[in-house]
Amino acid sequence: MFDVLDKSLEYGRSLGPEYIELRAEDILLTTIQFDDGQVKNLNQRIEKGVAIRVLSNGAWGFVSTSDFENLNQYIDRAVALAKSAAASRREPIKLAETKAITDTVKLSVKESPIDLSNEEKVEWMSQVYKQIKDYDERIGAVSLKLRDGWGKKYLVTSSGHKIEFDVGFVHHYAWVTGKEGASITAARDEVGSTSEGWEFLKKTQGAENIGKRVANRVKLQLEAVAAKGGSFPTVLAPHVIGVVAHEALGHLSEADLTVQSSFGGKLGQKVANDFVNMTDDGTLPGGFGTSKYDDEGTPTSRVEIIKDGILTELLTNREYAARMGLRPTGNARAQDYRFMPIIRMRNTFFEKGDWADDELFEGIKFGYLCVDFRGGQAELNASFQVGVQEAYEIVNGEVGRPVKDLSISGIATDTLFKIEGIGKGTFEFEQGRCGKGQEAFISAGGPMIRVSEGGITFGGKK
Amino acid sequence: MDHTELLHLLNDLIKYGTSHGANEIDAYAVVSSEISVELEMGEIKSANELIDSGISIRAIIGKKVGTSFTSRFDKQSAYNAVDLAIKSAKSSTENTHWAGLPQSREVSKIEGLWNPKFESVPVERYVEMTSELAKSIIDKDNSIIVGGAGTGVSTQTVAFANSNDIALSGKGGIVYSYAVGVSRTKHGMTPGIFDVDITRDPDAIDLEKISQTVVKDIRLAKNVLQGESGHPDIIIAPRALGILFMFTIFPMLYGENVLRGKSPLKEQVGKKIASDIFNLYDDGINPKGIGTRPFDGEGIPQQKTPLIRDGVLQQFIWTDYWAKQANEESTGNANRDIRTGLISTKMTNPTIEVGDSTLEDMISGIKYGYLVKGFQGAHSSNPESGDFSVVCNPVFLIEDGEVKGSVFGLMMADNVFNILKNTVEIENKHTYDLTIIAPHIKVEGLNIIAKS
Repeated sequence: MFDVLDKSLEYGRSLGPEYIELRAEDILLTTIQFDDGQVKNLNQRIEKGVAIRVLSNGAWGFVSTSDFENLNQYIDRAVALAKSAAASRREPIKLAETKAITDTVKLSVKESPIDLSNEEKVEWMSQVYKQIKDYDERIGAVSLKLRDGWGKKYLVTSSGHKIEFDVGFVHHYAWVTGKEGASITAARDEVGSTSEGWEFLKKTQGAENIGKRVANRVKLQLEAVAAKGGSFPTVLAPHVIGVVAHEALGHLSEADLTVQSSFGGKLGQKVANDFVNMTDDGTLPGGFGTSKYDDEGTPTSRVEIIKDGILTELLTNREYAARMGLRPTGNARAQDYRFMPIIRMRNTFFEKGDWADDELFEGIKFGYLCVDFRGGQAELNASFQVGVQEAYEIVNGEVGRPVKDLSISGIATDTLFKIEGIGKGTFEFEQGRCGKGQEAFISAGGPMIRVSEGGITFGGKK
Repeated sequence: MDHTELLHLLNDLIKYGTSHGANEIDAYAVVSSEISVELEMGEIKSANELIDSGISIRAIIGKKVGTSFTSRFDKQSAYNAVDLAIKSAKSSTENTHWAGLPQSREVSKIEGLWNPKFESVPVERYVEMTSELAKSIIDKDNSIIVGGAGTGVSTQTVAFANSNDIALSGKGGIVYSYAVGVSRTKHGMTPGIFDVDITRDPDAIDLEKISQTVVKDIRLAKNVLQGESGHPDIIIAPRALGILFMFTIFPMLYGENVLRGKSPLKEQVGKKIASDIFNLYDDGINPKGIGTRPFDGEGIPQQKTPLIRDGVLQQFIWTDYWAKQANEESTGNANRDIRTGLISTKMTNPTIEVGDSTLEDMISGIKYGYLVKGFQGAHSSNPESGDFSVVCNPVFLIEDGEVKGSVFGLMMADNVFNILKNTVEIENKHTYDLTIIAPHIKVEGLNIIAKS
């Protein structure tokens, strides 16, 4: 592959742009949709293509293609597009300097997706399905979706990067419906890994664990009471605080959004109580968003977004690092060869605090414990929303009845100052996908966190 | 590759597949190209050509279904994809519901989906239009930050063939412009205010309408007011309706969800589920709709399907696969993901019929209420029950018949059937938006929770 890319890179250089980048992929992907105990669709495909990105006359031109035989004509096209875009620019786009890197990134897994037959994958899904159906007779429709991929990604740039990456992932999503009388409800479960192979689904997670976990969420929903509307003291468990970190704060810290968001102009200023620390770490071992380099060839890094309550660092790519005088943090990511890399989070989390679990609940006469979520969304005015599919009442400091699905919201810049205490316990990350116009695998988490009344609004019906 | 050449290739693949072990086979090819110009923070950032093309193959052996995809159109790559689909089918398990591929139906031509200007307008024109749009906003109010804007043309040539002698092809396209802006408030930032115009004629894009909407709403949003909890009158704008319905009432109208016990609308056909003035249909052949195609992902002609008439549920929408299980006819609502091969039910152009009020009259009749232009978190709604709990954003406070300013952190927690049943007034004009064709609607009694 490098033979083809190197020749095309040289051709591209000869056209005189400031920068040219070729990012190629050759990946075998499998998708299995398993509905109500039957395979509805078993799909295998090879994704092979090249993303060509050119910076010429101070603007970007981007083209993607699967036509490896005629790459030079697509490079011509990308250069022409960049020049057209540049015509009206006042300030040319510049890129922060990065060290030229030549590397081969190997991925070592116990069972790669291509070592497992489709029959074995279907059998594993049958086990998940059986666990779900056997859990409670009120379980109705069950939809399971399995995705895995295995292959290589290649990056060459005129800045001197020449990197070959092994690419592999496994991902499983379940959506389960429950019914009792006229009441219908549903719950989801999502797990994935980019560092482990099939052993992640078979052993680290396990069919029994996944099946019982999602079925139990449905059962809790069927037996739950309605939530009140309004603001209450709240304890957010690791998966929900992770979504708050990602949605409410992480997006505001992506440099391309920061400048037009409520975090605009606040770098170096106090945005939270002193004991609040939040980080995005692209080097986190086992993280779903972990990678050695980003899609511009910049090494990924640990970015201390909030340190001791101060907005300390933003997530950048080379363009925004140059524009804002920051370091490139390795957060340029593209879904695949069809997309331009943009600034994305990787593994985002609140750092541990010093409160014991019982202290987090102590003194709460009435409030809520939010344990698991179903989606979330942020806006530029710092408004965030998280759909909650597993929550409980807290009454006199004790965890009580389960609560029907609802959502919580807040204005992040206010909520940060309402954090009263941060747990010191260990926590698990949730694995998910972010949809900023493109899909990216991410993880998020944090210890249990207590937010005082006024920090979180509950969209309940009572 | 034009649509005639595509169809020739697909017919060849059908022959190849049936002679290499497939009992049934279909092939769906898409050649999709999008030229787009993007503006970021007031300056043109990039011009892009995004190509998302390929052939989706579905092979059936007995009742085992396998699919594959190739992004290449040379004969050998296409044959390899057929081989891979057959291999996938062999390694799958039996789908006991499988009842065969669709038979051929007559497909009517839909005029106006293609415009030669899609290919003749140069990218430089789209750069100019994007710059003009941003300038028009700044010229009206230089406190506005134009965070993003763009203009582009998206074209699609599609072809379909199956082993039951269906052979179809067609092409179409759209042109769009959009802008999103914000402005600083006393304590932070307004929500992002977005507007878009979509047409099939590059010369008909209304940049001034986008610019005026963005400027007007940002000016209103800068005046941040406190909301109140309760059950006030609400006007819901088309974009907000589209995003909320997409995750609540629309999935309930999918025949597959009714069959699978995932919809509360089972046994409700012929019964009243909405207010007398509420009419909903799906119109897959509206020449102005962005979901309009001559045929769906199973090769079935798209159509206009009444869903709710005078508040009464009429029927559901179907793919051929699910229709056969219910002894129904497909309504041409099969959406095919060409990469994963998954065929699912999807609305084409969901349309709420217009009423007889002007938006101005609807607003002037409200003593205290809200105009909701967007919802945050609609995707976390419960599509099985219709319960939702979302943040209204952007949302504007109406007092004494006038829109006064924006409210932050206002939540709406209710059930979609309460929107349908409590709709009391409907605007007399359609907005063609990204997910719906709809007027503004006025609803009474919804549960609102204000941030304290």
